[in-house]
Amino acid sequence: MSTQVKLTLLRWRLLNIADRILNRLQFFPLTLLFVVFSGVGRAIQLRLGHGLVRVEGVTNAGESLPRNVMFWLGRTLASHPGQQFDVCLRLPREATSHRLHDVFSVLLAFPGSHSIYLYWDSSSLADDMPLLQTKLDLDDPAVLASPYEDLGPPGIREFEAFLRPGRAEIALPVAAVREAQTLLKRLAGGTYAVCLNVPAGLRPLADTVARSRPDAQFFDLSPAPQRTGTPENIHSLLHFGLTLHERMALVQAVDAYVGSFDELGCAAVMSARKAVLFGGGIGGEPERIDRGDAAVWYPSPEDPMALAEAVVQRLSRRLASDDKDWGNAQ
Amino acid sequence: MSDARAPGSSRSTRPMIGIYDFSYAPYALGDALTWTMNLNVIAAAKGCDAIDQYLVIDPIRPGSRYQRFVNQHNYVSIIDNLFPAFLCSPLLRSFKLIRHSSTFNLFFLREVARGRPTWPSFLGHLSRRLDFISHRRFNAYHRKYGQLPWLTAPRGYDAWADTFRRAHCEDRFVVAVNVRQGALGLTPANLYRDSPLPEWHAFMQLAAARHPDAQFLILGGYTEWGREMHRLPNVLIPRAMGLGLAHELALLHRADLFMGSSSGFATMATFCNKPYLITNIQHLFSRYAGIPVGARHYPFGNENQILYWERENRDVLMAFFDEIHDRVRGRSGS
Repeated sequence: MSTQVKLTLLRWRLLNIADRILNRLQFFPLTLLFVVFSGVGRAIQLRLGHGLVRVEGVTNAGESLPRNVMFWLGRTLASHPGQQFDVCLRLPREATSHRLHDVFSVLLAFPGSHSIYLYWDSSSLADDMPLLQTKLDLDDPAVLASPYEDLGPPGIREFEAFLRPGRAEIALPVAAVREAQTLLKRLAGGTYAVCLNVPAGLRPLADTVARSRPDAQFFDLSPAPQRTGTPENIHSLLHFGLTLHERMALVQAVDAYVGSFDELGCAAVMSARKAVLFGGGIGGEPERIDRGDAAVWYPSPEDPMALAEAVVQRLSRRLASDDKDWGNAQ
Repeated sequence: MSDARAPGSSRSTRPMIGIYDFSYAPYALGDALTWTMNLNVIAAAKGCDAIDQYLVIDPIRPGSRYQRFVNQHNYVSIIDNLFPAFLCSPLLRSFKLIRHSSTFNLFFLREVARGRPTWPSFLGHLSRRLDFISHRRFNAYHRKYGQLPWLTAPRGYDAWADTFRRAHCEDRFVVAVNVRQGALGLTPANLYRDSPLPEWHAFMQLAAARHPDAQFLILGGYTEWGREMHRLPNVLIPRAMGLGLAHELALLHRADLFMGSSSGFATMATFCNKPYLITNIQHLFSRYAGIPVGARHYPFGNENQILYWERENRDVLMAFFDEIHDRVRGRSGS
C-alpha cells in the first residue's frame, strides 16, 4: 500500500471518528459544530472520490416497476460488489402507479443501497447531483452527457444475466424473515413447501402441479382469491396481510418457487431458491431459458396444461435432489 | 388536488425544505402526518410551490430516546411501514431517506446558505426541537385565510382508490374506521388510549340494519382488528385484501366519513378535510389543539367534523353516525 493511500485512509478514519464523537454530543451549540464539520467533511469526501450514486428515470411507472428496480439494483451490485451506493429515482410528475410503496420496500431490501432519493422533478434531481456525485463522476463527460437511463422493462439480455449465478443478494428485515419462517413452521411443519404466484391464465397449471404432489404444501401468494375446486394442499395467503418484505421472505424460506417473474420471482432467484418462472417476455425470446437445477424461465407461457407436466417433473427432480428419498420426508 | 399556496401568494421558485430527523422525531403515523401538514401550511404561508422532504436516519442509532425499541435490526421494517405517510403533500417534489448524517448535513448547509425556508428551522434543528403535535400553525393560518392547504392521498394512489371504490363499494356510503388497539400492535404503548372494540363491533352490526347503504372499511395494522369483524356483511378489511398503509390512506381520502379513535388515521382524516367523528381524545391534547376539553370542533372544523373527548360506546357511535350520515348523504342527494 502506497504512502499516499495510507494517508488518505488515515484522513478518512480520523474524519469518521470525529464525526461519530460529535454525533453523540447532540446539544446546541455542539450540534452546529457537528453539522458544519460533517458537512464540510462530506464535501471533502466527494472531492476525494468517496461515494457512489446510481440514477435511473422512470417514464412508465406500471405494475412491473418493483421488478424493474430489482433488475437495475441487481445489475448495479453485480458491477460494484460489496460497495454501498446512493440510489436516485426520477419518477413521472403525474405518477399514477400505486406500487410506489413496493418500490420503496425493494430499495430498502438491497443492502448496497444506502440513501434513497425519489424525485418527481428533473430540475430538483439535477440540482442535487453535485452533492451526490464525486468529483470524478462530475468531471466525466460520459456521465454528464447521459445522466441516467430510463428504467423500462428488461430485455432478454437482462433476464439472462439476472438468471446467471453470482448475482447480488437481498437482505430483508429480521422481522419479516421471522414472520415468514414462523408461518411456514406452523403451516407446513417439516413437509416440503412451495410458493405459488402464477398469473391468472396459469391457474390450471398450479392446480395440476399441486395435485401431482400431495406430499407437498403449496402457498399461494397471487392476488387472486382461492376458487372452489382448488386442491387442498394449496393455501392462499391473500388474506394474511403480508407486506412485500414478508412475502419475499416467504419465497426465500420455502423449498421452491413456481410463479411470475416479478419481484417475488426475483427474490427467489436472488436467494437461489429452485424456481420455475413465467412471463415478463416482450417477444422474441426462446420458448424457455434453462439454468439447470437452479431456475427455468418461460418468457411467454401459452398452454398451461402442456407446461404442467414439465413443471411437475422439474419440481420433483429438484426437490428430490435436496432429499433423495422424497417419501421419507413425510 | 387542493391548492396549498396561500391565497394571493405569488408563484415562488423556492421550495420548502422539510426535515424529519428520527434521532429526535418519532416513528408514528399521526406525528408524520402532522409534520407533513405543517410543511404544507408553512409552504403556503411563505409562498412556496414545492416541498423537498429529508428523512434522516442513523442506522446505528435509528430511534430517539423516547423510542428505545427502535434499533438497527428493526428500523427498516418500521420506516417501510411508515413511508406512505410522507407522500401525502400535494406539493411533494422530492423525498430523500438519508442514512448518512454527513450527507444530510451537506444538503442542510446548502439549503440554509440559499435562504430556503426549512421546518424545523435552522436553530430548531440544531436544538433538536420539533413541534410535531400542536395545531398552533394550522389555527393561525385558518384565522388569517379561512382555509387550510389540506393533505391528499399518497402520491400515485388517488386513481387506484377511485377504482377500488367503484369495484367494491359502488355508490354506497363509505365509512373509513380505525379503532385504536395498541394492545394488539407490534409495539404496544399507551394502552389507555385504546378504544373498546366490542362497542365498535356492535355499532357496525346495528348500522347494517339501520343504514344498509353504509360500507365500513376497517383500517389499521393486520394484528389490530377483531376477527369477528370479518363476519359482518357491511365490512371490508383492506389489510386482509393484501393492501397496505398507502392504500388505506388513499381510501380514507376517498371515503365519505371517517370514524375512529384519536390516533394516526384520525390525523389523516383531520388534515384531508373529511367529515369525521374522532373519539377518545386525550384531554392533555386540548392545549396542543388550542381548544378546551369538550370542544365539539377544531377551530378549522365544520359541522360534520366532530370531536368526542370521552370513551365511546355503541349508542354514542350510532347517534353521531345518524347525524353525520343524514347531513352528508342528504347533501349529496343520494
